[in-house]
Amino acid sequence: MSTDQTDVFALEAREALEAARREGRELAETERVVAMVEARTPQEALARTRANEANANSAAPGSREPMMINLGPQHPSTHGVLRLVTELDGEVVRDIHPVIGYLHTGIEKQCENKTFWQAITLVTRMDYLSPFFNIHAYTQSVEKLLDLEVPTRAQWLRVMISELNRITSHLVWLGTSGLELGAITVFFYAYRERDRALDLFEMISGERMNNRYFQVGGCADDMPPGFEKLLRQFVTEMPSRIDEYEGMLSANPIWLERTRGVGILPADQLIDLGITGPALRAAGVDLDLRKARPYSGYEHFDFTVPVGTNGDAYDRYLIRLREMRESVRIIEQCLDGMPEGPHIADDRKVVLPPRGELATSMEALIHHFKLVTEGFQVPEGEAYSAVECPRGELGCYVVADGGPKPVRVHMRDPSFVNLQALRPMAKNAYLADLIAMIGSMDNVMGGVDR
Amino acid sequence: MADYAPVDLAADNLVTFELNGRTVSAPAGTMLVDAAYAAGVEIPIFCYEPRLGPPIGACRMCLVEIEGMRGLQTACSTPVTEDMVVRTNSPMAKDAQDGVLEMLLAQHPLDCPVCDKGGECPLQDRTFKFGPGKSRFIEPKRHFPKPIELSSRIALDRERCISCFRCVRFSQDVAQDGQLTMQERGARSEITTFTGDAYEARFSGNITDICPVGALTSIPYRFVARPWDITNTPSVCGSCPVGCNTELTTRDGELKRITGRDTPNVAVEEGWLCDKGRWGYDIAMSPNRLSAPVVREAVGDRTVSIEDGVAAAASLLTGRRVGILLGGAVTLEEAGIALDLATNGTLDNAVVARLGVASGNCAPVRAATGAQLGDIDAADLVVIVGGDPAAQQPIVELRVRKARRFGARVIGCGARPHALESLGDFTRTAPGHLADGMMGLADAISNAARPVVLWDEADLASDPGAIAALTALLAASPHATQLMLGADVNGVGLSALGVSTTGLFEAIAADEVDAVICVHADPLEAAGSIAWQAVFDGFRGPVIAIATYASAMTERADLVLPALTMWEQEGTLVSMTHRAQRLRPGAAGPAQAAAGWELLIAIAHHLGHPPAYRTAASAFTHTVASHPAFFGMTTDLIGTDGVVIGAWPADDVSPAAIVADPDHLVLVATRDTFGDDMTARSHALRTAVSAPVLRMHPATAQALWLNEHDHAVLISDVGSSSALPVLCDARVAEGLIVGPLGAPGSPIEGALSRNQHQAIVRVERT
Amino acid sequence: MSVQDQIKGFGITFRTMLQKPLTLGYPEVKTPVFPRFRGRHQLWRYDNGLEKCVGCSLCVAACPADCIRVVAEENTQEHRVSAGERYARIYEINMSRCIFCGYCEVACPFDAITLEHSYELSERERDLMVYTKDMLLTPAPKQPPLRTEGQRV
Repeated sequence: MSTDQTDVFALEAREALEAARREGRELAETERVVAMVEARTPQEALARTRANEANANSAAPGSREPMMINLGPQHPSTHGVLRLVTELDGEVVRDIHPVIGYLHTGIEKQCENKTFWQAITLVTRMDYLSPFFNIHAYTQSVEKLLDLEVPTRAQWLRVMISELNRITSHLVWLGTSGLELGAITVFFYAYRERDRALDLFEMISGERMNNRYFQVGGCADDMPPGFEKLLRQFVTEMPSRIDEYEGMLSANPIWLERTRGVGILPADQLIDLGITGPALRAAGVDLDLRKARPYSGYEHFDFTVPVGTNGDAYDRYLIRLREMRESVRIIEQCLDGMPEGPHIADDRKVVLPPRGELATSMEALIHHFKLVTEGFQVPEGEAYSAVECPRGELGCYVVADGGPKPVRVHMRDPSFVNLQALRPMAKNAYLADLIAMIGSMDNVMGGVDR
Repeated sequence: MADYAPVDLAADNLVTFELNGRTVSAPAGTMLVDAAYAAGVEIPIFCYEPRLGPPIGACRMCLVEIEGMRGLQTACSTPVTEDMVVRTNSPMAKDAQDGVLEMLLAQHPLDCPVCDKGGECPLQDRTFKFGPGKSRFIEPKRHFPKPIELSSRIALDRERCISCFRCVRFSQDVAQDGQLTMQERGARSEITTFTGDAYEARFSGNITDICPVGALTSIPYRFVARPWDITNTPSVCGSCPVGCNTELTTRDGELKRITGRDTPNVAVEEGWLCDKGRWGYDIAMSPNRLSAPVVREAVGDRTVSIEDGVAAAASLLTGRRVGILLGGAVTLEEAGIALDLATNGTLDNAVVARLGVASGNCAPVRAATGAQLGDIDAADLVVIVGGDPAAQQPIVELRVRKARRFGARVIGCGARPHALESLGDFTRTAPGHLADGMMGLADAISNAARPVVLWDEADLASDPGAIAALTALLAASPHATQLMLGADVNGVGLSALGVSTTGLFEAIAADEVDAVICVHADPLEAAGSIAWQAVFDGFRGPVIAIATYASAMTERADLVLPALTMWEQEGTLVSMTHRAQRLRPGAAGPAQAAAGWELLIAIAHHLGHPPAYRTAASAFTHTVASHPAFFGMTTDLIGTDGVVIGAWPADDVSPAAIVADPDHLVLVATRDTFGDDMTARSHALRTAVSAPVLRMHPATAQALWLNEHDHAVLISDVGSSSALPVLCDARVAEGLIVGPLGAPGSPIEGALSRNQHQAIVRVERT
Repeated sequence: MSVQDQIKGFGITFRTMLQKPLTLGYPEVKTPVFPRFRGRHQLWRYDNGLEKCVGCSLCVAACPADCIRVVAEENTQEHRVSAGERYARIYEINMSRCIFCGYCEVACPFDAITLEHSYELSERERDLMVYTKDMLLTPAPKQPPLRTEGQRV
């Protein structure tokens, strides 16, 4: 839409209002209602309506107030329930006010009422697209407080499953982003692969989502028989699948038109806003915690961190696709070099004793009983530990007072932080591009509201 | 329970020693475990329990390394000395702890999932905190048939016992019932009674509290709940005037268990409870519990809702001159509201009186702040004047025995024989001649450094000259303190509120009231029941009974409003040592019942005079504001441990003096805690009930031509008792009959005068 | 768009038509599950008919969703329900609260409760979502097929 057209619309509107004044009738009812409903308070709505009337009557160019509309909270492009109070001047977004809290679950607060062990099942479902990353950050923090060494095999299992989770998360993003921008086919393709990865999750952890597979001290179980074969099949096929997605989108003129040059912010502004993950790397900043501060044995893996140049939605798309390829490589390395050893630490004060011992050993039974009912004691202190989740730095801050329940669990969720970039990005952009921006930032509202 | 004794770090005989490389100090003679705990180092223990007396080092759990001493030492029995160097976490000490735990667990059955102690078990806690996580022992464990009943209330699982001797020490040293012992040796050792009979004692339940494993568990609580299913509420027991601090265990809105508190109130019960306070709560579920209001009409009884019941009460009271009779156990709130309604115009000039012992003449002694039960510990002389604390105020017995264990002398005088007389020299005095007995104690008291005089409220009140003699005794010895053995649960509190024992009876007799409300009070089963019966026979107005259990009065009343028990309602009770403590609800109670204070407030609302308070807490604030004894008192101040109230002006009547002479027999009523109506209705306590008997000296019986087991009736000038069997007891003074107060069917109350526990009687054989 | 592009496009269409579909005809065909899949709970008995559950309530303590309620009672000679001293008189799971984390089966020292494979757990009324002991002792009427290890759909 060109500036001329905007002026035409404004002129038309002015003429219509002028006509209304000449004929001595009131402002259109719809205009009044829209203002009443969409504005933040009735008083404000009334004031704005009056101001609009006055401005309309004054007929000075550009004096008209922007129209306020709600985008969401039930909008298909918001990956959850994000409400954006959008100030529109015609098709141009003048400003947006994100309103969050529609998916507030109180999980952080709930954790204070659960033992450290039980809290694992809660934190999984904050950012529901990357459950393993949530627990990974949480268990790492608790392990830091406990000064507990995680066996190498458990670390590698965690890396393997986390990377598989990165793929599923990116696939959901890819599918839904395509859906939002009018490319429905990629949705089916992405969900086809995602479902196979969820099968693998089900196979190893017993659940397709909200898995509590990572435990403090390691993983709940080792790989079941046949898992390795299935996972290998998956990673062998995955690169050709990614080729398929690229074939569908990378050179697709509609896709290019809608994502290229959309949602660009300079790198230093992104850093100032605390943006992490693909959104930051697309702008050329090479920050990935797996490289920057390797955890869980990531230093042993050979992979590259894709970095973009333009920082637009298209770059973010490219980076995510390339990240999937890197994840595939990491999983392959995991499968090839999986070290032998226990899948969970052998610390009887934290980790449940083997089930076989419960029938013969009193020590094991007592420890099992106490761990299950009261939970392990975590020494007084606080710890922060972060992992590179599909959306950026997912950190978990845990405060312990020496008892079996956390005093505070706080998640530094990248969805929440990255949401801040939306406002500067959206200013003076077109409404249609706003959808592409929200999509490309990949905010999961479960992680924002917690 | 509190396993470690408190350490006074402000004492002046501190010694400094090294603990795990730190320099810490504690008073000389403090046991190392306590000193370490005070310094923040927990040394694991099983057998150590400071309340049980000196440590015995039976479990070997507390082994620590002390420089200069060969081998390892038990920290529970090693006093700290200057410059001692102690290591509790050295490899050697850690190895010993692991070794002891390994040995204890090698024979411990894999019972945690079925064991009632699971989740609140010191063995579990310490294994988890200090023990090894793995066991080397895979051989089969010993097995005994399980569980066996140590008594009808205590289950014994011998496999779980770790031979810590805590229960044996409790029985031998604390309760001194001398029943429990350890039989056999090694893997076959087991806890049992000497005789092999059931362990029947009045404090037996405490061994389930102190057992560090699940060997001794409560049968009424067997498999009822797990620690994570329950909520615990600190409350206070209202079964006797002692006011023991309790913890109520609630699951699904029902009271499931009563235990001593984790942090015992040292000033009151020190964590020990009598079996009645612990297990008697099941009477709240007994068949004669009132669960719905009953309106008694000419055509028959009609059960109504509580709202309609309150409305009916209000309509019965409208326009009538009202009398309110309070029981001896009503809370300060209930009494305060009753007084308020009588003065604020709701029930114009209502007469408020209470049932219980009239002891106006005791005021001179009570005016000064007395000792707390905890003060008995430090006494070097315990004087018991009159009374029968073992039967009437059970926990006092443990305190006196403890003082005796610490070397205190126990002396006393009184008309009745009691269990504590075996601890020292007691002189038998004829009723009415306590003053003579006290004369004989004067020398001992003035020679003692810290004497405590325990005196019985009912005995001294009706004894001419006794109060004067006691006042003189206390005045003569500057160090002497006194402690009243009270007669009524909240007698002190009601007296401090100025509720008199007199007034209402006379008003009814003189036809000055038209309606009577009985709040937790049954005059037809109280002392003077014959006289009350007569006056109520002539009373034509409506009687409203606010009561918990069916009784003679609820049968007579025109309207019965069911009330909540002491385990279900909020309120404040003042113990016999003037300690105000809070009742907190640990159960919901029947749906159509309400607390006494709630009912009184609701009635006031229906009468068109909404009071200024709506809750128990605001009623408390309103009540205490106008009474000097409670000046400045708040519920916060009372907290969980209670607070001692101030003095109050005496305004109660004094009873008639009862003096024995050779021509007359004197009946002295004793409320045996385990023989009263409440115990008789409790299922858990069914084997603990003592049967009502008339105890008298064989010579007295012979003079009356009575044999043992004959039934006799006592006749006084106010009425007569029911027939009761005679029991000859040579320890009872001649010319004296000891009768059971409050026994089922209230057999002797008819022979007593109102508000008095003694009477001159003659005896007829039936 | 050239004819070539059309041929290319229809090529994909025809090729795909010949492939086996990836989707299943649920509910006629049940999605198979892996052995570790955690679905509806089941309480187990020993071969002699006695219940494995002794009502120890460890599952209650472990449950992060507080969805289990257990009230225990003592076995007697005449009325023996479980193999231990005590048994669960009431054992209820509120399936509408359950998060299927499986902590209950981890906590159970007797393998008395396990999460089995049935996942069709809808009811027409909320109250019916509270599964009682009798229901849990009976295997689910509809069991989904089990995937053999390593099998692909």
